Parts: sequence; structure tokens; C-alpha cells
Amino acid sequence: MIFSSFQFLAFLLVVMALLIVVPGQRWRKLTLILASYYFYAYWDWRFLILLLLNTVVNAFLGKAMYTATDARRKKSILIASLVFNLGVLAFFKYFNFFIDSADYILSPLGFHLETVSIILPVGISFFTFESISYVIDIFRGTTKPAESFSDYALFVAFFPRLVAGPIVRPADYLPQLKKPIGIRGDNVWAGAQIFTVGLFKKLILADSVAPFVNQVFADPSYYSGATVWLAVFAYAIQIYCDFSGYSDMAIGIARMLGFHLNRNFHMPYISTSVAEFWNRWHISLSTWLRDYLYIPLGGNRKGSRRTYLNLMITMLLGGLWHGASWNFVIWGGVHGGALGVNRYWERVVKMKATPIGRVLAWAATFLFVCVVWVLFRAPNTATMLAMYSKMLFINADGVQWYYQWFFVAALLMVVGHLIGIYRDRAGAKELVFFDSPYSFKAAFAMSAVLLLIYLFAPTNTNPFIYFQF
Amino acid sequence: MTAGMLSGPAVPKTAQNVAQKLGAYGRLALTWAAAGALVLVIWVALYTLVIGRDRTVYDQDVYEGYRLVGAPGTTQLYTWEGYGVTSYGDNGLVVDKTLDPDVPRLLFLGDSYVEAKQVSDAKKFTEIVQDTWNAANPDHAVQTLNLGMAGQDIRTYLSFGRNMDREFAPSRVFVMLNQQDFLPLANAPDLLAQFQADPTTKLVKPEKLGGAQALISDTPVRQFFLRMLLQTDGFMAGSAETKAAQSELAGNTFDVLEGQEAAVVAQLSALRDIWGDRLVIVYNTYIPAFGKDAAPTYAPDTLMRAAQQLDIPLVNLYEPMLHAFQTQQPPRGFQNTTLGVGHFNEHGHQIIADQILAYLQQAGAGAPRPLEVTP
Repeated sequence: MIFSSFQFLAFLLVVMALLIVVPGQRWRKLTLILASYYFYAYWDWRFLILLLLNTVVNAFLGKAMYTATDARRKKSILIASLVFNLGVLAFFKYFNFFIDSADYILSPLGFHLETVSIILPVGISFFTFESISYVIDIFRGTTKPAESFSDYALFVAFFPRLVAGPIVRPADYLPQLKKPIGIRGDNVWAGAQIFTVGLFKKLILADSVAPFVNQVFADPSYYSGATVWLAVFAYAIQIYCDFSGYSDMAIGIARMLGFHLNRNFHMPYISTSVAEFWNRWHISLSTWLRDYLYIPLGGNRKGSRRTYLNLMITMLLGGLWHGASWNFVIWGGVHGGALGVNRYWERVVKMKATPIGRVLAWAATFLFVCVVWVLFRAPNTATMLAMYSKMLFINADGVQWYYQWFFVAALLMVVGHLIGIYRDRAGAKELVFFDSPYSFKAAFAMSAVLLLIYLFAPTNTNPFIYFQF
Repeated sequence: MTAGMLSGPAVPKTAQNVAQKLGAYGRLALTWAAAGALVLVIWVALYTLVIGRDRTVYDQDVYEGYRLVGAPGTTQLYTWEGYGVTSYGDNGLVVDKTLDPDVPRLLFLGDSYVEAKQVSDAKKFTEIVQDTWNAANPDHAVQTLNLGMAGQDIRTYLSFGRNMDREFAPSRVFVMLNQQDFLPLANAPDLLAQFQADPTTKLVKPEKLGGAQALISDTPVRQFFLRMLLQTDGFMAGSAETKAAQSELAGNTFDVLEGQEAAVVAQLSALRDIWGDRLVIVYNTYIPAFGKDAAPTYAPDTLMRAAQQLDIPLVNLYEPMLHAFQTQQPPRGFQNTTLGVGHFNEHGHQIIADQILAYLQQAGAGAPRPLEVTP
């Protein structure tokens, strides 16, 4: 049940109707929990067992952590929690990756290891990280345990962001459960606008370039160097619009239900450095990695060498978080290296920011990010090498395919970013364009965009890319 | 908009309050209805002007008033795939032509692959065949007639084939077929038996339109509403199953007709009953994606064996199409669609034309044989 389907629309309307008719805070929370479980079980009911297990264990450990007075006991509980959460994640997501890698190393010695068939539960990386932050925050004393089991259950399972984020912190979410839960017109209107922006990004931009990207990445050797370059740029559009579109939809749905989720993307492709890119891309993950990995490793407090090492470790693991494959690790490592270079450049080569310098910095950053996306997208090493050799115009002959929808999508991206920059300067914090649905202008704009989406969205919708993570 | 419009802080439900709320809802509904209507009008106009105007012609004499695809009209603009502009002439011809009584006519039947609204008229294989043949054989000129129409299959050719024969008196009838074309009748053997017993039986049902549908269908905005319907169907869960079935069918690579020999023979026999030895099959064979791991030659399948058994000439497009894929000249797809799949592009049309011309040369046993006009 993906957000852009009629099934989900019907599901959401039912949930909203229930929240209107069901009386009392307690019952409304229960309604949301049951709706979230239904939503999750719709993918595969077996996943629900894992989600429930995660909820029960972490709720219990969180309480135990909070009531423990002994520091050693607190630490033991923390370790138990980390072992449980990371262990479950490692088993479901990384077991076969480790087996494969070990087999690759050991096979020359005559040892062979067999992989096993494991289904990856959707959203496991997201709710595991949320559970870990819950227990660590209690350990640090920066948050208190949820007031009730149902509060914690809703924190973990809240359906708008259950399967692909944004990753929510307990300190941001749990206090919202103390306010009355209900459907309010102003929230519905604001949420609908945010959701529509996300829907547009996903269905009109991401899905329209997807066939081009899929086909060129399937066999880059068939196409010319120029076409391969276009496909790389198209993938940059696709992955951004797919994931940020999903995040916008999640934020919009949450808002319709009366909850506030922080923005997860903030025009990452206008960044003028890799460090800035990571402040704008998948913000909930990058801040999570910063707060729960980079800073505990020592951050930048232990000298420059250690800082570079910490950056690299953080980005390698950040890469691995995306998927159990070496290409993600390498992708993370290359970004880690770039962050190191970025840091070195800022410290050693102190340049004055000039307009031309900013344009060059933007172009270099954008080009770097796009070129490195190949590592992320290529299904195997051979494809990756074929892509790069075409991009270097080695054996660059091949079919010239200048996919027209790519140019339309690119133009729309540019226009969207110009609007975004303008709104940023005007102080807009979220994708809400009209305060009231009563104005004709608002009704006209919203109807026009929705009809455009309906008319032109590909109906063979591609699943969201980040579901696999 | 007032916070808590739908629910929220408890407010005493006085009559005044309720009236205020209802008034607000009413105002909201009116605003949105007016804005929505204006948006619809603008989108219909833009879509009709820029993307799709559909007034497909069908010949009353050939199709006996059956409303197969839309209403009579003159032009169609459809820029979704490829070239995008097709002119329709009278008499159901894709390319408008006045019948020349002095030259043999080559009639081409098929679905949207023959209709070929993705390429300009001059680049359709039917026109290339005529132009090339006539340039090389000015004394033995031919006239090609393209009756391709999206969505047609053997049921349509059988139902209206005799009318076509009467109307156009062709010397050769080239029917472009793929394996899927045989499935509807293979799954309805009683219907075919009924047709064989009574050749006036119609195997297709006329399109039945309600009042509003008929009204829309008779106007140029038909394409807009058709797209809305297709989109709705695509978004609905039910169509996912249909799509899955279709893709399974399309992906069922080699011989989807295996085990259906009798049905295939029966359908080809019925076609041959209409056109006799003037019938030629242009076989639009399946080729794996971009010709990867494809066999260099096409092993005879059920359809080919049936054609051979009935002694019906068959032009197989497999090898030249495969060669085009393998030499990085995909014969299908366009810059604005997925390359390698979908309808034939200009290169694909050239390949088909070359194959048909080669057949015509061969049929003349070395020298171009004058094709006789059938009365």
C-alpha cells in the first residue's frame, strides 16, 4: 500500500474519519496504533511480529533504563538494547552479505558458506534506528521514557513514516502525544499541500525519468557516452524526487493527522560543498549519524586525524545502512573521503567566497554527487565500470537516446528550486503555499496540480527506492 | 479557515453555530467546484490542442456501422509517442488515397503497429513499399492501402474482411500478426465455429456508448476523457492484475500458442477463406530485450507451422529486427518513450518495408510480377 495508490487514499480517509468519530485521547491513540499495524501488515503480516517484538523489548528496556539507579546497570541495559536492535537488523539485512563476503574470502582456501533465504522486512532500518535513539536518549538523560506503552508503540509504528522515514527522534515525537489528537481543518489543508508536492515529485518527476534510468543502467554499453551522462543526471533527479517526494508525503500525512515531522530534504542539489549536501540530504539520517555515531566516536574533538577517521567511519556505516552491498559501502566511503577533503580545504585553503567561486563550488559539488550516484545505482561492478568508461568517453559510441521527459523533468526541477530559494528567503519553513482553502486561487492551484498529476502520472508506479533500505 | 473545523475543541452546538459551519462548508464546496470546473475546462482545452485530438475514421461500408474506435472525423493528433500526427482519410484509410482503378492494390491490415501513428505518413512502411516499388518498377506500379487500426485482431479481420475485399479489391492482403492476436478466438472456439458456419457472424461487439459518452466521443475532446479513463483504470487495484497478466503474456517469450495448433490452423484457414492465395502474413515475432541472448534464427513455432501447413506465405521480421537491435539501431521506441520497446520507429518501418519488398520481388520469381487487379 504505497502512498500514491487509491488503496492508501481510502485507508487514510477511513483513519481520518475514525479519528473524528472516536472519542477520547486514549481511543484515538489506539486507533492510530491499530491503523499503523494494519498498514504494516498489508506488506506482509509476518513483519508485524518483528515490529511488535521490537516494540515490547525496547519499551521494556527503556523503562528499565530509566528506573535503574546504578550506572553499570544502565550501561548493561544499553548494551543489551544495542545487541538486540543491531542484532535483529544484522540478521535480516546483513546476514547474507556477511556470508557472501566471507565465502569470497574463504573459498580459495576450500571453505564454502551457503547463504540462507531471508526476507528483508520493509522499514526495518528506519524503526531500528528510532528504537536505538529512544534507548540511547534515555541513557543520556535527554529524554524520558514514553508515558505509556501505547505511546511508545505509536512512536515506533506511526504509519506515515514507518516504512521509509523520516527517522523521528523520541524528543520530537513523544511530546506531541500529550496534545489532543484529532483532525483539524488547518492541519488537513497544510498536510494536503505538503502531500501534493510530494506526490508531484514522485509521480511526475521521479517516475517519468525512471524508464530511461532503468534502461541505460541495465546495459550502458549499448548507449553513447552522452546518453549515459544524461542517465546519470536523470538518476540524480529520480532518487531525489523519489525519496524527498516520499518524505514530503509522509510529513503531509502526519500533518493531516495532527503531527509535525521535521523536513528531511532541503534542496540538496543547490549545495556548494559536500558537507552542505549532507546538511540538506536525508537530514533525519545524517543528523542521526552525527548524534549517535560521529560525536560518540569523538567527532572533531580528538585532533584532525581522528576527525577524518571519524568522518570516514560514519560515512562507511552510513553507506552500509542503505543496503547490504559493497557498492553502498564504497559510496559511503567516497562521500567520507570527500567530506575529509572538504574539511581540509576549508581549514587549509581559505578562499574568499566570490560569486564565481560559489558557482564553481556548486558545479563541482553537483557533478561529484551525480558521478558518485553511479556507485549507488549500478547493480554490479561490471555495470559500474561500463558506466564510468562511457562517461569518460572510452568506447563512447552507441545509441543516442535523448529522452525528452528528462529535459522536462530537469526544467521542472530548476523551476522548483527557484521557487524554493525564493520561499526560503521569504522565511517559509514548510511546503505550505496557501493559508486558507477558501480562496479561489488556492482551490484553482491545487485542482490544477492534482489534475496534472492524474493525467500524466505513469500508472505502473515504481515502488519507492528507499523502501529497499 | 477556522482551526478545528472538522473536530477539535468542544464548541456548544447552538443552531447559529451549526448554521455558520454549514455556511462555511457550502462556501468551501462552491469555491472548489468553481475552481475545479475552470481547471477542467483549461486542461481539456490544453490537452486537446497540444496532445490528443482523436476523431478516428471508420468506413461505414466496411465496418457496417460498428463503432469500433471513436467517431468519424478527419484528423488525429497524438504526441505521446514518436512523431505524433496522423491524418486519416476517407474509407478508413490511414493515409488518405483515391483508389486508382488501374493499378494493383496491396492492402495492409493490422493493429496499431500497422496504423503507425508514431511516424509521419511518408515513413510508414506501407508508404515506403509503394514509393520504393513504384520507383523501381514504374511500369508495374502498385497502390498500398493501410487499414491498420489500434486494437484490431483476427476477430475484426474476419468480421469485416469480406467487406474490405469488396471495397478495395486488393491483389495482395498483408496481415501483420503476432501470437497474441490468436488468443481471443483460441479461448472462444464456439465463436469461431459459429463464424465458420455463418460468415456473416460478427466476432466483435459494437462499442456501446451512453448519452454523455456518445456526446464526448463525437467531439475532439474524446482523447482527454479516454486518457482519464485509462489513468483511472491504471490506478485502480483491479487493473494491476490485468497488467500482470498482460506482462506475463508479453513476457511469455517464445511460443504462447503451443498446444493451440488446432485453433491457430482454424483461424488462419478462416482468413484464407476470405482472401485465398492473396493472403500474406507479416509475422511480428517476439524478440527478447534488445536481442540479448536471442537465437540468431527463429525456430518454427505453432503459428509458422500452421502457416506452412496451409501454404500461406509468411514474412518473418525476426532476423532483420534482431540484427537492428544487435547493431545498436533499435527498431522500436522513440526519444520520448522507452527505446527498444513499443511501436516501430522509422528504422523499424524501413526494415518491414524492406522485407515486404523482398517478398514481392521473390513472389515475382526473379522479375517483378505484375500483380493482377482482382475484380
